[in-house]
Order: sequence, then C-alpha cells, then structure tokens
Amino acid sequence: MHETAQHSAVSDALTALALGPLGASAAAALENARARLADARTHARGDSAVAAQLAAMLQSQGSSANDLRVRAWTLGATLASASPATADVPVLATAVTIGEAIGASEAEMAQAAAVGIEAAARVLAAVDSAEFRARWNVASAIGVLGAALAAARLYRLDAARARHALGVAATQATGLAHNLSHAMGALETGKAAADAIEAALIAKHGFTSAPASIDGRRGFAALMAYRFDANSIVEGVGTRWVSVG
Amino acid sequence: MSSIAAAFAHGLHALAQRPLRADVAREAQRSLINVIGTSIGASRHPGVDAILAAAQELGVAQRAPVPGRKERVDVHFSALATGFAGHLDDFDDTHLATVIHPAASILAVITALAPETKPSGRATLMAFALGCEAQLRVGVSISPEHYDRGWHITGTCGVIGCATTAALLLGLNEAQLAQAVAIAASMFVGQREAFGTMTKPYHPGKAASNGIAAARLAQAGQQAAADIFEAQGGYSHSMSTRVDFEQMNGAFGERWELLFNTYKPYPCGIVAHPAIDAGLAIAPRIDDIGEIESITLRCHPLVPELMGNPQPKDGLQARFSAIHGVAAALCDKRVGLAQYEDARVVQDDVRRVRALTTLAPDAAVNRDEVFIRATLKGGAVVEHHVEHARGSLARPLTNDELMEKVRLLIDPILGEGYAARLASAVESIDAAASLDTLFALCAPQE
Repeated sequence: MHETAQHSAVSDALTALALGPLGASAAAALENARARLADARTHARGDSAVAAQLAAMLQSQGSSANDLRVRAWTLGATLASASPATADVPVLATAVTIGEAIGASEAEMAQAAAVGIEAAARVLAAVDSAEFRARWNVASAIGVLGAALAAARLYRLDAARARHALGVAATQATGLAHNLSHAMGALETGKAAADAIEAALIAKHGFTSAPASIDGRRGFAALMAYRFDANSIVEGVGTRWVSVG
Repeated sequence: MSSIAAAFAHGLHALAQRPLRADVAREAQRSLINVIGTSIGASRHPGVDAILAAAQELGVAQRAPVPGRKERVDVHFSALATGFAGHLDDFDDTHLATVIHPAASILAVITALAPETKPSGRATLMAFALGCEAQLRVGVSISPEHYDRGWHITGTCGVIGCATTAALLLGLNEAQLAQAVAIAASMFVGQREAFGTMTKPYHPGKAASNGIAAARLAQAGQQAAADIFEAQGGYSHSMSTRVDFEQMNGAFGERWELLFNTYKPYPCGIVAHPAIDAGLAIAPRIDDIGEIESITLRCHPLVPELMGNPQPKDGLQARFSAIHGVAAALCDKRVGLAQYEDARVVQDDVRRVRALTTLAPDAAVNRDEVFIRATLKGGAVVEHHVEHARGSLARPLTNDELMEKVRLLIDPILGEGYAARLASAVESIDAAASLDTLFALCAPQE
C-alpha cells in the first residue's frame, strides 16, 4: 500500500498564507488584487456568448442562476475568453462570486484574491517548465489551487479544512494545453473556479483529502510537473510577495 | 483519416444501434446490481452528508435522487454523491487489467439524468454497458503506465465513460458523441495521493458530473480540439508514457472489456481474498474458536507485503490486514462491512484469533490461491486449500454469492427484502418502460 504522507511543509505554507493576517508587506499585492477585482467585476454580469451558453447549460441541470458554481464558471470562462488567461482568472472569479454571495467587504475580497494569486504564482514557480506548459492548461491546472485557497479564506475555514479543500482542488487540477486555441480552453479555466468553490464547500462540511496533495509521492507535482522546487512555495511565504514585483 | 475521438464514437455509436450481446447484457446486469448495493450500503457515510450539505448551501433544485437517501438535489450533486457512495468502500467492481472500478461513476450518471431523460430499462442497460466499456478501453490503451505513475484511473478514464453514458441518455448523435468524449478528455480527475481519504471515492463522483457536463456542452455545440486524444499536449500522451490506440478503438463488438469485470466478495484489498475464503471454508469445522491453538496461511508473498497488518486498530487498518479477515471469518462466519467497523475490529475475540494467526509467504503459491492450516487444542488439525479465490476471473462470484453480498449491503439500510426486490427489477430491466420502479426501491421509506 502506498503510505500517504501525513505532513507537508508545502500544504502548511499555503494554508498559512491563505488564512493568516496580511501585514505591511502585502500592500502591493492587495493593491494589485483590488485593481484586478475591479476589472473582473466589470465582466460579472457576463453577457459574452460563452457565458450565456454555459449558464443555460448549467441551469438545465437544476443549478439556479444564483448557484455559485454556475456564476463562477461563467465569470471565469468570460474572463478567460477576454484575454489570454493566467492562473489568476479562477482566483478572481472565485473571489468575486463568493465575496458577493456572502456580502464580504471590499477589503476581504481583495485579501482573498491576493492570497489566491500569490499561492498560484508560487506553485507555478515551483513547477514551471516548457514541458509543463506543453501539456497542461496552466490557468486552470494551477488556478484551481489558488482559487480553493481564496475560497477557504472567504469561508473562514480553519487550517485543517483549508488543507482538505486544497487537496480536493489539487486532485482535479486539469486542462490540456492542446485545447488552448479552442473555446474549450476558456471553459476549462472557468470550470476551475467552480471546482474550487465546490472543494472549499465540501471541506467546510467535513470532507477530507490528502495532507500532501501538492508535494506527495502521488500528488499534483509528481504527476503533472517535470521539476519541483518546494522552496519556491515555502520560502518567505507571507512576507515576500512573488506575484507583485 | 478520422480522429481517435471520432473513430471511438463511431465504434460506440454503432454498438448502441443493435441489441446488447446476451453475455454482455448479463454482465452489465451483475455489475449494475452490485453497484446499486455498494452505493446504498455507503449512502449514510459522512462524506455523502458533506456533499449534500454543500448542495443545500448552494440552494440547488430538488431534481435527482441519491440511492439510499431521502434528499433530492440537482444533477451535478446527485452524480457527485452517487459516484462517491458507490466506490466508497472499495467494494464495487474491478477490471483487473486496469484496476478501473467502472460502475460507480456510470450508475451516478444514470441516477442523475434519469428524472430528466426518462430512459427505458433497455436504453439504460445499453448506456451502462457502453459507458463501462468506453472507460475500460481508454484505460487499457494507457495501462499500466498511467496508473503506475500515480493517476487514479477510475476517475481519469471514468470521465470518458461517463460522457458516453450521458450522451446516450441525452440522445446525442455520433458527431456529438465524439465531441462529448473529446470535451471530457480535459475534465479528468484523480491523483492517488488522496487514497485513504474521502477524496478517493470523490473521483468517480466527479467523473460522473464532469461527464454529464461534457455531454451537455457537446449538445450545445461546444468543441474541443478534434485530435485531443492523439495530439501532443492532448489527453493520452500527457497522461501516459505509452499509448496503444488499437486497444481503444480496435475490435468493437468482438472484444468486450466489460466481460473482464470482477466483483469483490469482501470489502478489503483483493490479495487477502483467498485467505478469507479459506477462513470461511474451515469455520464450520471449528465449533469453538477458543479451541484454536494456531493458524498458518501459506500464501503469495504479496499478501504480507500489501495486507500484512497483524493487529489493526480500526476499520481502515483492518482493510489492509489479511489476518483480520481470517479472524473475522472464524469468529463471525461471514465477512462483510460489519466485520470492518471500528468497534468490531478491536473486540477481544478477533484480537485473540489474530494473535494466533501467521502468514507464511511462499512464491510457489498463486495470487488467487492459499493453504490454511489450523491446529486445535488436543492436536487436531483442520486444513483447506483454496485454488482460486471467489471473485477471481477463474472463479467468478456466482449469482447467489453476488446476491448475498448485495443483501448484506442493502437490507440493513432499506429494510428486509429490498435487495431481492431491487435484484428482480434489475433482472427484468430489459422489459421496463422506465426506471421509476428501480429508483423508488432505492429510496428509503418515510
């Protein structure tokens, strides 16, 4: 039997970043998050063709127009079709969708977006390579991780539940590079936001996942990455913000 | 030359146009009643509660059922919860060459879409068989490298089968079916790091809801890259270092991977099954377990390696203890979910028998074989040789054995006689105008 790792410095660092207080060092990251959120929210009543089609499809399933999964997926797909998508897109779609639904303050939404963007940037730095980008849709595969952590912050999950949410997100990191030139690429990226919200919600209600979902022997990096540098995630986390500057 | 997705859809669609071969239909029915049993058996698990609580928090419509539960939820969460429960106890079917558990995710698609698509029994069995077959064929085309690397193949290939089943239920044409499987190819889910947590059975649940979404997107005219399976940066080469598309697209209608499906008689790792068979075989010959002085199991070396825990402390550990399975067989004369409950695992009688039991690995013993030897006080010896474990390909579960397993899963949850009634509904599914009776039987009485 594969012995699952019970502890992970990577998971600890990412959940601490997601849930912890943001000090003075976060000022630029928060400023960036506010600007990105403002831009994302101009798309939030998304009237793009892909959004309309997607919303109709999801609502045909019995998911209401106010269902957070529906809104996050359509907003994410809209953002991803508007310009070349990065891993920030699922984070922004998640922060806007949950933030509006729970009546979070502007500051809370900016904090959630900032930690999600930073987490995604750090994971990408740890795994980035030409081979990685040749196979996967980076925006969805990495974005789902940052988005789950942003969701965990907005839902005020404790560290254990946030780690489970990260695990449920990591196990469904997906999206294929070969679809990037098709509409499907944007749908994958938007879906990452819906999947992240679901991960945080079921973790909130007691769902469990792998402790070392990113760095474990059968985890995200081992399966999808061609190099892995845990230090890029762990070092200076919460004090040094690699996503801005 | 047509794309892999197009050729795959062509083969599947052609099969859907004519009646299922009798042996395939029979195996599909066995797999269906088995997974109805496992999904109902696990329907009260806290993981199902968590999924349904999330659905409630999102305010979803009460549209589709979850077997064994009163609640109704939207299509997405019905699929998620049903696929989760079906695979939770690792008690569903197993395709040995790929270790795919195909049925849980496919039952989940059918459960979630039945209220909307209202399929006949015959159409359901077709969609079930082809959904299993589709994912098994994808699995064989990238095995064993894909699973060995660490992917949970039940979810990563399952999603392709789920898109197939959903497409058939939704009445998509061949071109739309090709799009459905192509779209599903980038919705794979499942890393083995999550084994031992609720996330493992989440994989077939999410494969089901993703497969449904893929089929609906195809129905709405969405398109993935046409060569998404064979391209670099596509599914197959990103997921495996070796790919054999002949296994995916060759000999449709002649080779049925579904026929290599097996059903576990016991809810634990399969390498322990011969030992449990042996324990059950000698149990009637030992009146008083207090008379046992020692037990030796001459077994394949993988048994101690994978299932060697001598004194498990809870139900999860017991699933990796061949010795616990033997002790439970001798104490309880049966081995089902009850023998793996935390409280049962730590009781004195099974602890005592476990302490007297030894595994003796022997490379000359086959994987599905075991020799048991119990020495009783006063020197009497009870021996038995299991040549092929129950549930192996060489010795499939009989229909009676399968029904006994399903009865132990369903009746404690729904009430006496429900397993038999569900089995009869599955047996006559070909003549059923709808699934109403079947799903009414899956719901708990008020």
